[in-house]
Amino acid sequence: MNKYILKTNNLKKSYNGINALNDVSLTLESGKIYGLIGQNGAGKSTFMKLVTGLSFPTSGSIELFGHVGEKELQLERKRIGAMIEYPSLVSNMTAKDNLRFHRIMKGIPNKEIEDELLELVGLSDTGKKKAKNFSLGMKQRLGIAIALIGNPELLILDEPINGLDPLGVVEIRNLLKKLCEEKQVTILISSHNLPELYQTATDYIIIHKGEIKETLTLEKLEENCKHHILINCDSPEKLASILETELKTNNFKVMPNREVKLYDYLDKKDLVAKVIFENGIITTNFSAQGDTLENYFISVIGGNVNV
Amino acid sequence: MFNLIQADLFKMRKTVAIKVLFLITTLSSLIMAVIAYSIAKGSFDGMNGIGFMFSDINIISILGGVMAGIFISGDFENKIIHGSVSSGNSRGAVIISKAVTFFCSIIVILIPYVVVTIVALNIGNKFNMGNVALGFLNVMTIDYGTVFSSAEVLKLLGVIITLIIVYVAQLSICVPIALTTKKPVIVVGIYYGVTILVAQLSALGENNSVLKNILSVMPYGGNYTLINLNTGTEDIVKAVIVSLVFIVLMLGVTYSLFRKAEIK
Repeated sequence: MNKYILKTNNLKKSYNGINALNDVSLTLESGKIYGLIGQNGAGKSTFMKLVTGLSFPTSGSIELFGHVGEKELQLERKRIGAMIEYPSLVSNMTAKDNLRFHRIMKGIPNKEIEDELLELVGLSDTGKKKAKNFSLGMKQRLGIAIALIGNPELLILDEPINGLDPLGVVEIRNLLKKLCEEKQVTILISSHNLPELYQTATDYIIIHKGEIKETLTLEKLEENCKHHILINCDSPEKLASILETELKTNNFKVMPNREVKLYDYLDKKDLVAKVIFENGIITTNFSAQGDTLENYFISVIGGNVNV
Repeated sequence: MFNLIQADLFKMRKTVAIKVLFLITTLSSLIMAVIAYSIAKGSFDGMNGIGFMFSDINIISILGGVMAGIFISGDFENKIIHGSVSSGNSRGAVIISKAVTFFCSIIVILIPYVVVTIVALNIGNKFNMGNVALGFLNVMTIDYGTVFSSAEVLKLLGVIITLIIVYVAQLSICVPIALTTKKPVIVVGIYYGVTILVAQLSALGENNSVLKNILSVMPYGGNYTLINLNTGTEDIVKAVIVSLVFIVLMLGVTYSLFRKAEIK
C-alpha cells in the first residue's frame, strides 16, 4: 500500500512570470486532516487547483495515490472529492437534484446516498427549495455533500466553513473528524479561521507568498504555542533536578538543544529565578515564551508581531 | 463520458430555460405558419419580413447562442465544469458531453418547427413567405400540397434530419466560443454577429466564385438551408457531410483551446 496519498515535488506555478507557487514539495499521508493556512493570495487555492487538474503546473510534479503522469492523475482524481472556492451547484435545482446530478456525473448507481448525504450535512428538510434560495452556509453544506459522493479517499475543501453558523461549524468539524477517524479519509482543508483549523486539523501546512513556510503536526504546534519559561543555562541536568526537588514540578522539558521549557510557575517567575540563582546555576536566557495561534502564524510567515 | 452526457441531460430536463425556449419556438412556429398561410391567401401582403422574424432560421440564430450560453458558458459560472474535471473526467470528455447536450437542446427547440411543417404539408393548404423562406419554412412553402407516398415520407424524414444536422453544424461554432469566452451574453452577441456576417458574405458570394466555394464547404453556404423534397439525394448527402465535417472541426478547435486552459 502506498504510504502517501498526495506528494508534490518542487511544484511551481507562474502567471505572467509571477510565481503563485514556488518549489512546493509536500506529502499527505492517509487518514490525516491537513490544515492549509495562508493569507489571501498565499497560493492555497492555486495548490488545490493544481491537484484537482483545474490548472497545470509550470514545473514540478504531482503524485496521487502513487501515480504520476497526466492520464494517470486524471484517473486517480476519481478518488478525490473537492470543493474549491465555491460549491459546484445548479442554482435552479433542489439539494437532492444537485446531488443526483453529481451522482450521475460520477457514475454512482446507488440512489440511497442522496438522502444519506443530505442527512449527514443537515439538509434533509430542504424539500423543494432551490439552491439559489439557500443561505451561504446551506450552499457550503451542499458543496461538502457533493464532494463526499462516491466515498472519496482524499477530500479537498477550500474554505468550507465560510458562511456557516457556529452550530454548522461544529457539525462540519465533527463530520470531517468522523470521516478521518472512521473511514481513513485524508482531508486537505484551507481556512482563514485559525482557531477552527486548530480544533479540526491533525497537521498544518503554513503557506505564504507561494512558498511552504512550515509543516507541523498538531502536537508540534501546541508545543510551539504553549506558554512557558525558556531557560538556557550551563547545566540543564542540574536545573531539571532542582525543578523537581525544590519547585516540586515535572511539567518541564529538556529540549535536544539543551534548552529547558518550564510550563509551571508562569506567574511566579521571580521564585524560579531565585531558586536557580541560589543553586549556583548560570543562566544565559530566562524569558517568557509562547504564542497564540495567530501570533505563531504571523511569526512563521515573517510578520513582526511576536511575544 | 456517458455519465457526463447523462448528467447534463438530467440537468437540461430540470432547467426552466429549455422549457421557456421550447415555448418560444412553439409560439414562433405557429405564428410563422399563420403568417405564411395568410400571405398565400393574400391577406397579409408585405408581411414577409415579420414572418421571417418568426422563422426557424432566425429564431435559431438567436436562441442557439442563448442555449450555448446557458448550457456551456453557464456551467463555468456555476462551477459544474470545475466539478467535472476535478472528479477525473478528461477535458475531451467534458467538451463532447457539453456539445452533445447543446446539440440535443437544439433538436428539442426545433421540434415545434418540424411538427408545424409536417402538419402544414398534410393539410394541403398553400403557404408563402416570398424569397425569405429558408429551412423548415422553405419546405413548407415549396412542398405544400405534396401527396405523400411512403417514398415521399422517407424523403421528408431525410430532409428534416438533414436540416437539423445543418442547424446543429451552424451552431457548433458556439461551442469553442462558449468554452473560451465563458460569458453567455458574449456568446449570444458573437453568434448573432456571425449569422449576420455569413448572410452578407452569402449575398456577396453570388458574384464571387471564390467566396461561394469557401462558403459551400461550410454549413452556412451552398444553399444547405434550402433543402426540400425536390432536392437531389447527392445534394442532401453533401449537406450532411459538410455539416458533420464542420462539427468535427469545431470540436477539434474547442479541444485545442480547452485542453490546457486554466479553469478559474
